[in-house]
Amino acid sequence: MGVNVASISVPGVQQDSRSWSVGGLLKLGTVAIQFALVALVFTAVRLESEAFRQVLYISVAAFPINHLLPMRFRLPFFVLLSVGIIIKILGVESAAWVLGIGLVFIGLCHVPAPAKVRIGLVAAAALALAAFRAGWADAPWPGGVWPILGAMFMFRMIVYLYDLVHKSAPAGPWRAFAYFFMIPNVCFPLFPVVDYQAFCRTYYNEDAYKIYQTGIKWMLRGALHFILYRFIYTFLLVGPEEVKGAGDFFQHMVTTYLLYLQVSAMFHTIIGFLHLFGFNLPETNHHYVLASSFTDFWRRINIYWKDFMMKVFFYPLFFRLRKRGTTQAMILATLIAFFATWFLHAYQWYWLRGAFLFTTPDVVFWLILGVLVTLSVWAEARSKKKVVPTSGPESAKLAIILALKTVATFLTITFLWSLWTSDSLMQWQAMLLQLRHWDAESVLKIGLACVTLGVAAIAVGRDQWMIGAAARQRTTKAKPFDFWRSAAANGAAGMFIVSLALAEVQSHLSPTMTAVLESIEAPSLNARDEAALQGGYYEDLIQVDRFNPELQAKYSRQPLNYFDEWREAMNTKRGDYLGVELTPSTTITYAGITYTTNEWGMRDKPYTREKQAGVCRAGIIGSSHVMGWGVNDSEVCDAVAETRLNAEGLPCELLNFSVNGYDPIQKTITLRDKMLDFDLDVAILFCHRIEKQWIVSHLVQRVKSGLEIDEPRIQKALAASGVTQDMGEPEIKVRLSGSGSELLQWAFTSFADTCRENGIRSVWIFMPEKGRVSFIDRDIKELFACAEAAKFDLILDYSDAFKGYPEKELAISDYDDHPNALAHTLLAGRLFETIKTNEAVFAGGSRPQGQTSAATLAQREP
Amino acid sequence: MNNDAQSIQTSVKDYLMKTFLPGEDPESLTPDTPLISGGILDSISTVKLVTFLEEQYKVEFQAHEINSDNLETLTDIAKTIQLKSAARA
Repeated sequence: MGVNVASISVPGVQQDSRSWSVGGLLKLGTVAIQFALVALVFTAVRLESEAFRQVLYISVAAFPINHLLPMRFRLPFFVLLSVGIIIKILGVESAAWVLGIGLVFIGLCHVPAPAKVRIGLVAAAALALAAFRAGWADAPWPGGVWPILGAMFMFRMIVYLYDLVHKSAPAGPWRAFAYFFMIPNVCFPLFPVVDYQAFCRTYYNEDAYKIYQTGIKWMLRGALHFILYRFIYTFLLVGPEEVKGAGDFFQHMVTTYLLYLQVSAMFHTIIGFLHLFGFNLPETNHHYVLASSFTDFWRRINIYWKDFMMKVFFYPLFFRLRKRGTTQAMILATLIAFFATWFLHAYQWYWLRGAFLFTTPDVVFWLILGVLVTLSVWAEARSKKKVVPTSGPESAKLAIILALKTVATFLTITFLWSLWTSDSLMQWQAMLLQLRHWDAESVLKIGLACVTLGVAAIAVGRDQWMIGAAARQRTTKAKPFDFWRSAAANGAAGMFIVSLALAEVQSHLSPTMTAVLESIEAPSLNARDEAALQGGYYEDLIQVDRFNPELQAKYSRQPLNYFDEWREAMNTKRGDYLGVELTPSTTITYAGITYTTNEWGMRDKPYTREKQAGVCRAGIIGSSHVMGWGVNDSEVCDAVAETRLNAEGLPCELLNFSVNGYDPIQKTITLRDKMLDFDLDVAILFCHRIEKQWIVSHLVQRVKSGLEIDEPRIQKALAASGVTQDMGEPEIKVRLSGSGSELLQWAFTSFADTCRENGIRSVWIFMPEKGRVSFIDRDIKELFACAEAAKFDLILDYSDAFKGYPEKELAISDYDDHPNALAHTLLAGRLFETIKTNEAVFAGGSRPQGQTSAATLAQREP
Repeated sequence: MNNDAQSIQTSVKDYLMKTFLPGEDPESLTPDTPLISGGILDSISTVKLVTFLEEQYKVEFQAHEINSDNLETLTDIAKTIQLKSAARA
């Protein structure tokens, strides 16, 4: 007969640490300042969404009020604050739906009926919601409600019901509202599965200042994880299509695994935040890179998930099965728990994104991981702990074994992770085939990484629970809490991060360091990065813009369907490879910006086909950045440069043929079909970092749409890759990725050759964006190599055009990093200098058709 | 079987030292040492401990009772056993 032990225990010995003494108020003020510093860190480095940063500032103001309230008022205050924030972020209508539906679910849990009836009622309500989510019936609430509703209730409702039915935690309206509507859930659709029992038990269960200091520390740790994530994403990540050998594959699998830093960053931030309101919850992740076995990995990577699975699946299953014997019960319970884990990940995907996740890589990943963890459980269940020596040869041997086990676990997990994050099994197999190619660099890269990891495992493991009981003993003797030392450490860390984001500090750093910092400060992926987006389960759930534009609009204050209205007015669809072009003779004002096109469909003033004598005429072709998205007609770089050139007595016409979204193939077609008609002396091709990925991405769209492509070189690439219209997009992308480099080279060469054949000088310019650093970016290196191979007359790097200006001063807005008027002025300055200092290239005058520019230049040079 | 709190704690401590903390200084394991949040008990060792408690004290645990409220410290474990023993009697 089981006894409800918890029902008579005191969950959460609430300590009322209010103090109006000078010392108490001083501590409170110190915590408040640190909290404000955390908010500054998130603002300075533009971490997380604009919505969350707003929540931070509101919470900084609310924090001292909460602390000074009598204990009985704090939870109601937290609830009211949470509700207020939900309304602020989602708006009244969406917030009303979230709160209303939530209250219905909470109410169903408390219907005065037997547990089975209540569970049945909640399940029936959830099924009704699921039907709406599937689109079987039109939901009356806005689409942005779904991810938030899902995030609040999909798992926590299970935990809440479990604890309610077993009476293993106290119940009450304020606790329930606080648990489901807790800040900052409204800003994070992917949210840790907070345990209800722990939520109640840990509420102000020890010294409040200690709890707050832990919260500040974890939020700063979260910020650091976010920054590391961005560094890895920007500088180290190797996409599947970039894997050309064993070293690349190793870097791919390690970096895609390390992208999980974004999840640990979020979880540290969220749980740290809750500490500031008294919830002394346990840590969410623990050095998961240093896991030394599969069970160890399972215990460290997402501790809240593991606890949830143990509570709701593993222990109940084990107790049902243990008549079969402890070991057998453990193995069966583990296997079933892993099946449930797979299912619940798909279930989470369903509530957040609206479709059930069922892909081969996902199924295979969970199957293999489940088997590995089960084998690990079996081995651990049979093993007996041995005395662990703390010194001597035996200890050294154990340390080496620990290092080897850590490296082996890491390699296995990252290998599986690369499978999980692949678009398809075929994409993963294609990468595996590259393992045939080994070179010294690969061996060095892999060897160095493994040795570093092994050393870290020994160094950290000695002070953690890994190496053995002797080390564990040390951790149980925790150091006494020192408030002022903790505040000093947090303050120093926060100020260090904020200072690095200051332009004044960056101006004293090396250009390399400044460029790296600017890249890390970039808030989100821009439109071009989207083409080369690294996928993955968590990436696809965290980046709200990938699945719920309505919610994204609320998070970023970006207008819903941003760009669409503009496209509607300014883009005319074409049935050929170009896809779209600018609508001729159109003027619109969108978001306060005037866009005008001339009769030829250029974002420019009117020009005749024939140029005037003595004038140098250059045709410019780029994409949205050069077309001038987000700036007025007169502010576009070519217009500014042209005005300045003419004012200084350099007769010049700069015709802007740029169209939003054009890749190098489209730009080359534009040169051939349009630009040649305008009596050009020079053709300038502007390029960005990931032109190659755009070529592949656009080609995938064209194959899927069944477009007849008459360009022989593209036909050849399509034939070689064996793609067909009925294939899935991921498969087409994988097959075409191998042709990306060749098509990029072909497009550049065609551009330069076309210019040569028509007596036009060719100029290639690398357009900077988001502080990309060319010296370590292989995409940029490839661009320059292709431009050189194409033999452009002039190859220029505008990477430093924005030097000295912080990224945020150059972008249109927080949610759109296209260059603003200032950035266009800076680009115009570079263009002006280019034309002025390269007179031979930009000299006006006509040449006979077919004469090469090199020959022309030779003729003109004295 | 002596079921006062002190003797339960001593017996459980002996079991923990012998099974999960061999070679450790017994004094490092105090009545308030966090066993679950401190990483001494993971899911497998928790299951082993519960099996030991059931056999040793002739009590029965339910799945939902495997939590920090009941098993976080030696003090918690002793309380849990006493309550269960009292309920059985």
